[in-house]
This record gives sequence, C-alpha cells and structure tokens, in this order.
Amino acid sequence: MKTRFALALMLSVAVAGVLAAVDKNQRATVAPLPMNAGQVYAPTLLAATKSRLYVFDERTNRLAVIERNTQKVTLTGELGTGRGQFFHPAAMAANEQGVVLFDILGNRFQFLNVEGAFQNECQLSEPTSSRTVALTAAGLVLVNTPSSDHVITAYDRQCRKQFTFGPPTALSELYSSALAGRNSDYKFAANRLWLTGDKSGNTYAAYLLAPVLTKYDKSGNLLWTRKFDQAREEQFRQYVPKNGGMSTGVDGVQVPYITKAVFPEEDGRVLVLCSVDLFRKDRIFEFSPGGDLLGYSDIEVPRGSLFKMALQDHDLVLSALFAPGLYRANLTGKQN
Amino acid sequence: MKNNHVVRKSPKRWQGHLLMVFCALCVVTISVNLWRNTDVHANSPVQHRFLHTGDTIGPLTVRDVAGKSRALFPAKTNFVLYYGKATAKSLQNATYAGFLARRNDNPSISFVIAANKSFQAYQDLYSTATQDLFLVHDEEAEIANRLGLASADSGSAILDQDGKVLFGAPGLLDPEDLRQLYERYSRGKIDYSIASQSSTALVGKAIPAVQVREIHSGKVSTFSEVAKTDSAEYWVFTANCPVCSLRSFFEALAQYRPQHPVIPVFSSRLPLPVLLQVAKENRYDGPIYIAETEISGFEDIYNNQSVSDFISIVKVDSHDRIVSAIPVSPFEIQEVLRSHEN
Repeated sequence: MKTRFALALMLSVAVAGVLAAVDKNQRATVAPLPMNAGQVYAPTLLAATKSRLYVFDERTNRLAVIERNTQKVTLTGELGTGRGQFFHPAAMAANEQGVVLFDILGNRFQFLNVEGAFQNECQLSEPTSSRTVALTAAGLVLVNTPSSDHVITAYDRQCRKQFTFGPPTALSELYSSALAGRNSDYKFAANRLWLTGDKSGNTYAAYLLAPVLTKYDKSGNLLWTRKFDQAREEQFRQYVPKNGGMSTGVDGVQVPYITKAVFPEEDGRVLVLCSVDLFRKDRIFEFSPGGDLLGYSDIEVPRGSLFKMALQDHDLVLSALFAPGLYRANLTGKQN
Repeated sequence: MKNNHVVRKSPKRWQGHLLMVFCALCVVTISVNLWRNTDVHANSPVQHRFLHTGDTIGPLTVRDVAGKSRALFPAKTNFVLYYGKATAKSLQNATYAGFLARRNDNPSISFVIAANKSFQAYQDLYSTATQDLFLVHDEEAEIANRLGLASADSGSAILDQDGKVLFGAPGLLDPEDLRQLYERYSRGKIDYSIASQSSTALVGKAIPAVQVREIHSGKVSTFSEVAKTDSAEYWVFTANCPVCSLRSFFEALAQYRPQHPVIPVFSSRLPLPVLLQVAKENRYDGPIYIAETEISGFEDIYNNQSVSDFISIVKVDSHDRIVSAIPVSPFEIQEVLRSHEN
C-alpha cells in the first residue's frame, strides 16, 4: 500500500513536472552565424568561454579561436600527428584556463592556452573510445570510459589517472525493464555520455541514447539523476533499426533517439541538446542546478540535424551535420 | 657418519643452489635488457603499438610486385600506406592514393603501398599504374610490424629518408587528409581553397571539361559531349566518401529513374569493381559514366565541403550550362527530389 502511494506520489510529481515544462516550452529561432570564407570549412567541435568561441574545422584540422568582442579569428594548428598538430580529434572542451582536445586516434590529450597556442600534450596509457571530454574547475580532464568499471575517468594534465566514478548502467535502467531484452545489444552504447563541468567543480553527464541527466560533485559522488522526456521510451520500444537511422557511431548499433550535448549556463542552469527528429527538429531541455526541469525549446535547422553546441551568454552556437556551418540560436525567440 | 656425510655434501649443494640462482638472475637480467633495448615496433609479431611521430623505424629492404628490390627509404619523404583488408572504403582511399602517386612529379616523394592478406585486390586496382608507385606484397608482415600493425589492420605513415616518423596514424587515410599531407610535403604548404566552392554557386556556369568513360562500353568522351547528345538530367555523384553512400544513391536512382531520364556520372574516386558490384546488386542496367581522372574542379566542386556525403543533382541545358545543382544527402534524397519537382 505504501509502495502504491509512493508510486502515485512520484507519478503525480512527474506529471506536474512535465506539465510545468510544457507550459514553459518555446520555439527557438536559429540563424546562420557568418564565417569568414577560407577560414572554417566544416565546423564540428565547439566550445566557448565568456570571451572566446573555439571552433574545430574537421576539413582542415585547424582550430579557429574567435574573440567575442572583436570577432577576430585566429587559426591554429594543422593536419598532423606531431606536437601542435591535430588529427580529427573526437572531443574538445574549454574553460577560462585553456582548451583541451582529445585525439582519439593518437590516444592523447592536447592542451592549448586560451588563445589557442599549443602548451603540451600527453599520451594515455590505455585506449579509450570516449567521444566527449570535459575540464573540471580543478584542471582535471574527464573522459567517458563506457567499457570500464566506472563510466567516467579523471586524468591530470600529464595523463595520469586520478580517479574514476559513475557505475555502468543498462538500457533498461535508463528507460524501464520493458527494454531489458535489448540490454546486451546496447551494452556499451548505454554507457556513452556527454560530459561537462561547471565552475563549482560539479560534473554533468547526459546519456547518449536516453533522456537521462546526472550530476556528480567534484569528488565524483552522485548528486542526482533526472529522467526527462518519458515519451522517448515508446519510441525506443517500437524502433527497428533501418538504413539511414541514427547511429551511436562507435558501438555499431542504431538508435531512434540521441542526446547530443550538455552545457552549463553561468547561473548554474544546465542545457541538454536532444534530437527529436533526425533531420528536422532538435530540442533543448533546461534544468536548474538542483535538477528541476525548467522547460524546453524546439529548434529547427534546415538541411540537417544539429550535432554540437556551445553556450555563450545565453546564445547557443551550433554546428550541423548536413549543412556545414555555424548557427546561433536564441532561446528567447529573438533572432540575432 | 650420516651426519658427517651430510655436512661434507652441504657446501656442494649450496654451491649448486647458488649457481642456479646466479644463472636465473643472469637469464632475468639478459631478458630485461633485451626487452628494454628491443624496438617493440620492429619485428614483433605480438605487440602492436602504432608508431608515434618522432619514432624511428630501422632500415628495411622490400621487393615490389615487379620483383624490384629496394630500400624502403629512397626519397626524402615516403608515404607508406598499409592496407590490411580490402573493403569498399579502403579500395576507394587506395584509388585516390594511386591518383596522387601518378600525379606526383616530385622526386623527393615516394609512395609505398603495401598489403598482406588482400594484396590481390590492390594489385588489380593498380594494374595499370604499378610504375608510379611501389606496390609491395608484405607476405612476411615486415612492413606491418615496423609500423606497429597487425597484418589485418590498416595504417598510414609518412617517413623521412632515415625512417623517422613525420606522420603516423592507424586506420585508413581519407583522400582529403592525404591530399593535404601531400601538398605540405611536396610544396611546403596546403591549399585549403580547393574543394571550397559550393555546388549551388555553379548555376549558370559551364560544365567542367572533364573526360568521362561509359563503364560498359568503355567509350571515352567529354562530359560536355555526353550532355549534348543526351538531354537527360545528370546526377553527379561525388562525396568525401563516395562508397559510403553509393547504395543509397542507387536506391534513389531506382525509384526516380522510371519517370525521369537520369544519367549518373561518378567520381573517379570510386573504385570501379565496387561501382560495378553495387550497380549489379541494384539491377541498374543504364549507362554509367565515371570520370577518367581526378581533376580539381570536378571531383571536389560538387562536394559542398561537407563532413558528410552529398550527392549533387545537376541539370544541364543544351549550351552545357548548369541550370541547377542541388546538393543532397543520401538519407533525404527522396524528400528533396519531391520538393524540387514542385
């Protein structure tokens, strides 16, 4: 009886939360962000601080550092595997102390100062398939280690492992036991994360194939887990992999739904970019520092799905998969 | 007596034990030193750690398919491309490497292309171009071991004449990366402006004067000549990774073609065996044109500088002018075609 009451209470709270979120939802406008011709051809990785936007160009393997005030663009690096050279890094993060890129093929971290000048690099002793990297306030680098005992590993700037945290999960834990039959297919994919750190040293982890966000403190202790957008479970349950479906990329499985990025705002709120429709619509969910769902915004981009974002003073800077270029979304509905 | 006997024999036993311990220590010491001094990348059939930039691999003499023997590092810069398997993607990348090797007129640059298990596929691919590159059947996996690869894996390295690694990465090297690396080491700088033109900017311009070959008849003509004799719609198929979206392209073609006369024109980056196989699988029996050579302004011009793969649907008027050029991803081709018709 007590269990039923508790479940009913939880359900009521959840429904109230969703209704509140729906009330606050809005539509974001997206506008192309002009890029200087001949500088950035195929922007992929993005990171931002208050004063600079960092855009990695997949085609030229160069990093563009764009000053916020002057819009001055500085290009750094070139294609290569040596010091100060880039070779299709899988992830990038930036804070007021500098920039880190994760070279997944070379299994190394590359550290740059805030202006994009090469500082140092280090080689990881064990390979990781992480597609995300985060910088903590303490200067550690976090990566996702989906096939390990803990799904997040912290390294220092010399690539020395510091600590690990976050227990592995399964598809049925992210959604419900109704999907337990698919757990083995999604064994690693279910533990793929997007990571980001806030200025207080906390870590946010958004699960790639489920609308689930977790928050850890600076020691790696779990603070909260929030499941949102519950309708996605039905989408997953009915999904049959098909040609052209979204793929988790590295684990060889297709999915009907993915999250694409997680990013903290200055005031402590956190945003999660999710794909609702592969080619038409993405949705950005906004959470309070305590994990309350504050609302969501739908964003539409012509010719392709958004796949990376960075946040700069409430403006989202986005890159897209099939329509290369940078885009800016303003969540207030006002076009820039 | 017994005790005395024991006492008498004891020193010998101790000596024996000491000798054994000493020998064991010697063996351990020698093993450790050998292990520390051994280049783990060289001649190691078990350990595979791909070379890092700055590493050096020792001298190696190899024999090419023509039976010519030579040192691996005859030039200042050696592009060593190792193909572990023969997949559509690897054959595509090797096709482009062959193009670069044929075009290379810088004597300080040498191309070495090596394969082990799937060597025959690469030999077929380069059947007309063996004089331009050094094709090695790496039967003993010597090159693979030097690179730190299992013989079934692929990897790419650029080595100087002393065998020092200037660039090294496991896996296949995509054409655009290979182009940039070649430009850097052949000219000292990379031209990023190539492949920067958007296909939509082509509208109103003339079709590039490129030779194309109809793959069934073998007839060679210019794209312009083909366009004049046929008033069909041309689907120019180029992409960063043409083989990645080739099947989607043919599927779309199969649905669209019954109502509309369409002639597909393919990038020279596509390996012919793969193109023929996919066309056959899709029961496509119409004419297929493939660009004879990789020509700047044709291969890349429709590419739309995307990280993913686009098909360009190009319509040409009777004056060889492009009247429309729509870049479209293979996953949304049906939708785009419908809206284009409207």
